[in-house]
Amino acid sequence: MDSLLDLQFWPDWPLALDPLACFGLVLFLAVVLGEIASRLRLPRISAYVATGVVLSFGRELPLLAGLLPSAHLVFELAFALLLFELGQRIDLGWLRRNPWLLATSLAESLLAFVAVGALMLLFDQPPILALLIAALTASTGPAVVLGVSKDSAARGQVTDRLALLSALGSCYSFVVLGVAYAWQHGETTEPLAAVLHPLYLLLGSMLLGGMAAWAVLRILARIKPGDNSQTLAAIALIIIAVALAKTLDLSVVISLLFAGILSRSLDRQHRLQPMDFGLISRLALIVVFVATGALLQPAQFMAALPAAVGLLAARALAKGVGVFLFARPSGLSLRKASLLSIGLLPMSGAALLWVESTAAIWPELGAQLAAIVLTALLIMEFLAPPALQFALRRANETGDKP
Amino acid sequence: MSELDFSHSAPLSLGVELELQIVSRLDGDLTGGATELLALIERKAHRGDFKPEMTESMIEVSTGIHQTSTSLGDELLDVRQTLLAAADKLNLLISGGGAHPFQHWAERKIFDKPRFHQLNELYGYLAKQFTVFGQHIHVGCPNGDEAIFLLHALSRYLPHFIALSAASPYYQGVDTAFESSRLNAISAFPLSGRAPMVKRWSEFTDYFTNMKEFGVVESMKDFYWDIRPKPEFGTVEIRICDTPLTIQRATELAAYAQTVCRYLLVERPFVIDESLYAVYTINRFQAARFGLDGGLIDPVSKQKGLLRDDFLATLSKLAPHAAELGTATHLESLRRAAERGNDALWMRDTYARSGSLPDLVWQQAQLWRESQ
Repeated sequence: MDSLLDLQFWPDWPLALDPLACFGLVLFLAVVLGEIASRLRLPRISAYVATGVVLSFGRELPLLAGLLPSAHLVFELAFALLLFELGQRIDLGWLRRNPWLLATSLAESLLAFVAVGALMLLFDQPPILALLIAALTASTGPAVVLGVSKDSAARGQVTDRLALLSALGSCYSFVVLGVAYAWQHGETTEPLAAVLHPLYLLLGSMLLGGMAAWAVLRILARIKPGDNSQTLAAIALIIIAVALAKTLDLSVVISLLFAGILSRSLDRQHRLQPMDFGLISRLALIVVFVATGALLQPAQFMAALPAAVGLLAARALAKGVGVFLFARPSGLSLRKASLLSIGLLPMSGAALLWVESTAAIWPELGAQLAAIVLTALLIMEFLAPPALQFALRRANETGDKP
Repeated sequence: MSELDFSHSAPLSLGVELELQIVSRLDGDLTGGATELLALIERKAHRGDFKPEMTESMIEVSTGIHQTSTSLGDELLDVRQTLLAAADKLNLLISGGGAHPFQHWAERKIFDKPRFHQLNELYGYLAKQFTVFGQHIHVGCPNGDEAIFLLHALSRYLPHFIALSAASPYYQGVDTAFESSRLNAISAFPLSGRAPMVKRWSEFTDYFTNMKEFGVVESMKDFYWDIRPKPEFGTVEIRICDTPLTIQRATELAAYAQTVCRYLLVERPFVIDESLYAVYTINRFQAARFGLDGGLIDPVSKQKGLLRDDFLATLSKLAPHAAELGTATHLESLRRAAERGNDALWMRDTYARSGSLPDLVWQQAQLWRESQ
C-alpha cells in the first residue's frame, strides 16, 4: 500500500454529482437569494428568477447538464399546482354579481392583444408571428400574481381582481393559441374544425378540470379536514389531471385553473377552505421561477430589444385603458384602478413552453418568436414582480410590515 | 354650543348603530374592504349612515331617528339592502356577530384616518384586538338629568341586553365558553365599564371637565362605557350588545330598550344610588359567560335568581308600556328567543353540525342576508 489514497473505498476523482445534488444546490441558492431579496423588501420570486439566470450561464457544466432535461417535467407539474391554487382563489360567481368585471377582463385582454398584434405588423413581422406574439403576451402571468400575493400575504380588492383577471386572461390566450397552432399545423382545413376546435379545447379542458375537482372533493370528504393527507391526495390528483390534459391535447392551464375554481365553488360545506399547499407551493414557486430563469435564453437579446420594449409599452398601455374603461362601473376607485393596471404587468411564464414547442415543430418560426417573446419575458420577469408588489403595498393590501 | 350642552330630542325616540363584519367569500376570514364599500355606497342617495370603524374589516351603519321600533326596522331593511348591493359588487360578505370566530387580530389593518392611527398608537395591540362588533342603541331623553337617571337605572337591565344579543362564543379560532366573548375585549380598556355615580347633568359636566383637564379624554368618544350619555344627540346610548346575527334581532333589542326606558321614566321603580352597582360586574360576567342560563342578583330586591326568569318577569311588567309604544310583537320575539336560545346557541349548533368555522361564517352571512 503506497498511500492512504489508494484505498478502495474513496470515491473517484473528479467527483461526479448526480442531478439530485444539483437540485439541492440550486434550491439552497434560491432560498438564500430569496431571503436576501426579502430583506431588501423585494419579492422572493425575483431572486428565484435570478437563480435560474445564474444557472443558465453554467448550462454547459457537466454538473448542470443532468438537471436541465428533467426541468421541463418538474416545471410543468409545479406550474400546474400553482394554477390549481390560483383557481381556488377565484370566484366565478363574482362575474355574475358584477358583470363589469367580465367587461374589464375582455377589454384589457382584447386591447392588449390588438395593440401588440398591430405593433408587430408595424415592425414588419409576418401575420402568423404577430398573432402568436399577441396571444402569448395578452394575458397576465398567473404564477407571478399568485407568487407575489402569497409572498406578501396580500388580501383585498386589487389582489382578488388580479387573480381573476390573470386567470380569465390565461384562458382566452390559450384558446386562441391552441387554435392558431392547429391552423398553422394545417391539421384543420375544414371550416367545421374552426368552430369545433376551440370548443373542444375550452369545454374539454373545463370538463377535465371539473372531473378533477369532483374527484378532489370526493376524496377530501373522506379525510379529516386540515389533515395533510388532504393536501397530498389533491396533489396526486393534480398530477393525474396534468397527464390526462397532455394525453388528450387539452390545455393544462385551463384544466387546472378550472379544477381549482370548481373545487371551491362545488364545495358546499366549505371543507376545502382550510386546505393550504404551504411549503409545497413555496417549493413549486421556486421550481417554476428558477426554471423560467434557467430556460430563458433569448438568442438575440439586443436585436430584439426595441421590438420587445415597444411591445411591453403597448401592452401596458392597452391593459391600463381596459381597466380604466370599466373601473367606475365595476366599483373601483381610479387610484386602485391604476394600481390594478400596474399589477397586470407580469407576463405568463407559460409562454416559454409554447415558444419551445413551436421551435420543435417549426424551427424558423420558433426562433423568430423566441427572439421577441423571450426578450420581453426576461425583462418582465425582473420588472414585474417588484412592480406588482409595489402596487399591492400601495393598495394597503399586503400583510407584511410596512 | 359646547360639546356638553345636552341637545333636546323627542323622549323615547330611537336610533341604532351596528358594527358589521366584512368577510372574504374566499375563506370566510375578515378582509379589508371598508374604503371601497364606503366609496361605492356614497355614489348614490341612500337611507342610513355608513361610517368607517377602527379597522378596514369593519363597517358601521346607523339609522336616523325613529319614534317606533317598526319604522326603525324598516330603515334597517333598506340599510341592509344598500350594503349588500355594494358588497356583492366587491365580492364581499357581510355578517353580524359580536366577534369574528377565527380571525387573527394581528392581521388587521387600521383604517386610514388620523383618529384611528392615534388610538392605535395609544392602545397598541388593544386597538387591533378591538376588532369586535357591537350594536349601540340610542334612546332620546328630554334633558340631561333624565339621561343620567336612565344611564344608571338601565344598569339594572344590562345583563338582559348582554344575554339576548350574545353572538360571540368563538374568538381567535376557539370556543371561549362565553356567550359574548366580545365584552372581554372591551374590558381591557381603561375607560371601559360603568359611568361614575353622578346624579345630575351639571355634576356630569364637572366630571367631564375634570377628566379633560387631566388630559385623559378629549371628547365623549373616549369613554368606552357600557352605557353613556350622548349630549350631542340628546340620548342615552346602550353599547353593551353584540351585533346580533339578524337585523330583526337588532330591531327587537331596540324595541326592548325603548320599552324599558318608558317603564323607568314613567314608573320610577327604584332610587338611583351607588348600591345599584354593587353586583354590576358579577351580573355582567354571568350574562356574558352563561347567557340566559346565567345567575342574576337583583341589586334592588337583593334576590338571587336566573337571568332568564328575571327577563321574563320584566316582560310582564313592561306589558302596558309595550302596548303603549307598539313594541309588543318585538318583545314577543325576544321572549321566544329567551326560551329557545339566542344567537350564540345558533352559532354553536351550526358549528356542531359542520365542524368548520369558515362554514359557520358563511352561514352567518347567509342568515344576515336572508333573515325576515
